[in-house]
Amino acid sequence: MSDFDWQWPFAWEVLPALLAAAVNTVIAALLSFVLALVLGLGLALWRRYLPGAALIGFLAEFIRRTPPLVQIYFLYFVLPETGLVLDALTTGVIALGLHFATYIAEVYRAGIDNVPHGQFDAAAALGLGRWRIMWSVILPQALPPILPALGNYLIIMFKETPLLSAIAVVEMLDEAKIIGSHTFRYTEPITIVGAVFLGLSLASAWAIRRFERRIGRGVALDRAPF
Amino acid sequence: MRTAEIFGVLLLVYYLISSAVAHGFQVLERRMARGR
Repeated sequence: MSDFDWQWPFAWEVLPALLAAAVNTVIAALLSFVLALVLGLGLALWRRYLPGAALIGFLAEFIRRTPPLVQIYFLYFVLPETGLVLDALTTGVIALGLHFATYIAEVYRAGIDNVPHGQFDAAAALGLGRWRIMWSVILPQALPPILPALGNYLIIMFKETPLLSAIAVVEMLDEAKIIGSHTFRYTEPITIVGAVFLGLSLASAWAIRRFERRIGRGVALDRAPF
Repeated sequence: MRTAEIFGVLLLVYYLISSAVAHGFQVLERRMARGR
């Protein structure tokens, strides 16, 4: 006989606390994503234009080839030893942002490489500087095709936020573990966390598909006269 | 041992394992591309 025992009253009772913790999950995911977008662009441009590209490439490779959970622990326990004491959420956001920046840098690189070289030459012939060419000519063309890939990374990062529960960031999974340790019932809280993640992921995927279609139409219209 | 060393070594071990696996796949990919 199965020991599975689902109690709806308990599920309804813990739902508000888990939904409140979901706000922290969303905040952590969005902040990490913004950090990853900025750092990723910085990494991509650094590897293209600035000295030390090999060193930056090695560091990015190192970060990509090691688990984000260990990186989160590393920053959480090692940063205070260097005198830099940050709260758990900030440390987690930095760790996730840094980890995914190395992946997003490759997305930016692919987007920039996709722009025809004639665009660089034409902008240079107009007398624009290297950074001005990148900012005003190349990036506006490189970004639209990579937006869907960036959107996928937002969903991936959102699903990675439970890693932050390891350093006591009270997001959904941590809240579920706290509830479980207080009540000795894990079935309902953990199941609800899974369901909320599924719901939010489906909603994000739907929003990204809509956005992708809109961008696709925009690109098609832009290219129509040529 | 201090925490920094423990996690530093842990990261290094993960990096070496991942690099070895990646290198293995690159070799395999090259061989398959040559048709062997």
